[in-house]
Amino acid sequence: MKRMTALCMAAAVTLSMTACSSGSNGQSTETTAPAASSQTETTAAETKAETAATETTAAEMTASAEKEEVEITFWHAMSGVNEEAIQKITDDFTKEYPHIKVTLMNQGGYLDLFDKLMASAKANQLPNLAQIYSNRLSWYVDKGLALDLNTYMNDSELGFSAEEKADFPDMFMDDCIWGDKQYAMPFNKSQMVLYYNVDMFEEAKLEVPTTWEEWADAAEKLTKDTDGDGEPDIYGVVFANNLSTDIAPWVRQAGGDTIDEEAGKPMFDTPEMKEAIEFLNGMFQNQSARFAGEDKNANTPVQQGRAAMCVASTSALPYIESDTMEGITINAAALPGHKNNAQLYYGTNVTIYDTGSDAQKEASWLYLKFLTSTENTAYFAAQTGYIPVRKSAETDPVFAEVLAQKPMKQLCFECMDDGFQGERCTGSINALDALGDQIDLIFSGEKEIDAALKDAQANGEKAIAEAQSN
Amino acid sequence: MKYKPSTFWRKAFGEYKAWLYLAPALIILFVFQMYPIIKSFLMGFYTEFDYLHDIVYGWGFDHFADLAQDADFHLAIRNTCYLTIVAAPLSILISLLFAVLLNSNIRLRGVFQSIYFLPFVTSMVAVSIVWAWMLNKDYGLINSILKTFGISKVAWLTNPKMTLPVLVVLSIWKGLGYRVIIFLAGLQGIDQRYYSAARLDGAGAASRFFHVTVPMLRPTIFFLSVTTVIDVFKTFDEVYVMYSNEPGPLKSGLTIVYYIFTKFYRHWEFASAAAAAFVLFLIILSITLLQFAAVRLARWYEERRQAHEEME
Repeated sequence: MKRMTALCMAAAVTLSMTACSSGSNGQSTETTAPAASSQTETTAAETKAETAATETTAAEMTASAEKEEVEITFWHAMSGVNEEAIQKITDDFTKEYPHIKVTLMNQGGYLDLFDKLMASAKANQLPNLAQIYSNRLSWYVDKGLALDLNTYMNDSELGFSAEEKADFPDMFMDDCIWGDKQYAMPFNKSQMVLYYNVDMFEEAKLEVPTTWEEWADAAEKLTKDTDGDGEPDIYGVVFANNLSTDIAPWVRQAGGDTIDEEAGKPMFDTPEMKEAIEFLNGMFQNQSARFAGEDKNANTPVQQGRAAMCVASTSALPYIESDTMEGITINAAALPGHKNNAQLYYGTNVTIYDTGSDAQKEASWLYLKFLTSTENTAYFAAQTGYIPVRKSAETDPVFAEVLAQKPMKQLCFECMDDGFQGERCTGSINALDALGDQIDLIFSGEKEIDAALKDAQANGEKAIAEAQSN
Repeated sequence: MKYKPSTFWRKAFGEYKAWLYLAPALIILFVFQMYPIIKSFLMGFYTEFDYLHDIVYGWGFDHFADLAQDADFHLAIRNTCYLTIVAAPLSILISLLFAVLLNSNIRLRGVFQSIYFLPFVTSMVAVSIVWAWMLNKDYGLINSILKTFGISKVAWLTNPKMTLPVLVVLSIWKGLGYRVIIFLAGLQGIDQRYYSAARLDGAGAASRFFHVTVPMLRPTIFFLSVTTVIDVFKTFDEVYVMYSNEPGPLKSGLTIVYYIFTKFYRHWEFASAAAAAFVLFLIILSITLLQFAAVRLARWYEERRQAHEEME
């Protein structure tokens, strides 16, 4: 009997070890890399002067001076230049609202942040503010854990004017609205773009592709197997390792969609999905395209001259600027279109959780409003690879100066009318993962497209149903 | 029989001092190990529930039934069993070999011991990162060594067929030092007189190894086979780190623990994760019980044989 108990204990140890440390992070583009920008100081000085002069009214200033001290916590997943930019904006905020102390907490990568948020929700210890993707936030919204920001937004003193509201692109705002309630504000948005090696295109006398056909053609022409071992040394185009949530733009361009949000049903087994996957699969099968694989990020091989193009986020820009090998010039273009030119925008929003005192909630709102002011979103976008969340940022002096130097950053404004954001209903990640598994099987030649999409549809439906059951 | 409360209590808690000493460990074991097992067992049956407030609306066998049909779970079990069947015996054999070599009077014995032990004290995450670098197809150490012999590049980390062999090698190498130390302790506990007697009887080195060393090491071998099997069953971190948060190319490195991790943390399917965790617990428990039974059986058989011999 004693042995039995000991045995049980031993087995118990094994079980409890399963929840392991998550050392790495989901979007490796977000990490590492040193601060790159040399213009930090001048721009910082400029914004300081401006922020002091704008945004808050005198009434607010006096009101806040009388208020009691409030402490709020903001969990984020920003590191390197991104974190420095947030820190700077937060320091400015503290100068303006001395009674509000904002504690910034870096939680590692996005996946680490989301794991911790989930655990803290269970323990009833959610932070006041957190960065979060809307496809994760939907669960908190279902659970009633997110704060409806409309009360503050529509407040004549604390809120936004009608023009200010209209200043946020609709697709960003819609991503934060569930029904008639607003649960977040857009913060670090980025766009999926096509990076390309300028010289390779010039050498091959090719134009930057704007349609699927041109793209596939360019990819094939730019693929080179110099040592003749049957495997290209330079690939035409490189994709990020997981095409599950990233498949959306091609499905949209084919006229379809990935998930019917209203019905909570995946739309994987459709002619449009098939068209999109057939197109991408063609490039994979003739070896002009590959996944990032061991390079981890799709932009790495382009930076090292081992690929002509890659599909990656604008948030990779600071790393491209600092790590590209000498003699390689990289530029970015919108994704080539097909039936339409749909362009994917992604990135997190910042939510306020329905936790803490009213004073903390109000302070959180003031901070969130500050983070998304024209000056600050312009500053953040200027320092990082993210794009401004306000249209007016385009003419902001700080950002305009950066735009003049880096015309690549103009792209996000040009594409905005064709922009859309990914699916977000609870379970959408799980369903898209089921699709991603099947896409991997198709691209590696293990499975026929029709059979794979049929399985994807069945698995996806099951995944959504289960995710919505808790 | 008369029932005396005082005797009962004395019997149950008579050794109160012992309980006092056991309490800290027991409390920790209960809170962090026994309770989670019970909880995950129960949670596996939740079909409709509020995870945050622990309100359960529906109970049922759905998740266990789903597991039985889930192709991914089958794959995870297959992969884990492959790892266990290949890696556990190999790693015990190789460790035994190294331990016997180290136990003979070779030079720099201490140095070798430290070298073999190093991987065990190094964090799995660090080890995996170094391995990922060594196995890199284009810049890796291993492929550049192969190249000098004229062997073409091997896609160690991106070819699905390579995933399990790589994990087997990693698991053997990682646990080598620990197992060697345990074996050395066992070897040094063997009375030298057995060897002397065997020599007198004219037994050669091989004969001494199989008829003296191995039987005398049986408890050690048994201990290591139990712990090694459990270790291999828990394979997770090396996959997670080496394949950058993916269970290997085409899920070729999906282990049971990885499956549970994905269900819980990535997909927030808490109930089916709990069900899978409980199944893992049952598998490990039953394998361990089987091992115990096998040893019992072997011992019983041995005793009976000896009894027969004595009678004759």
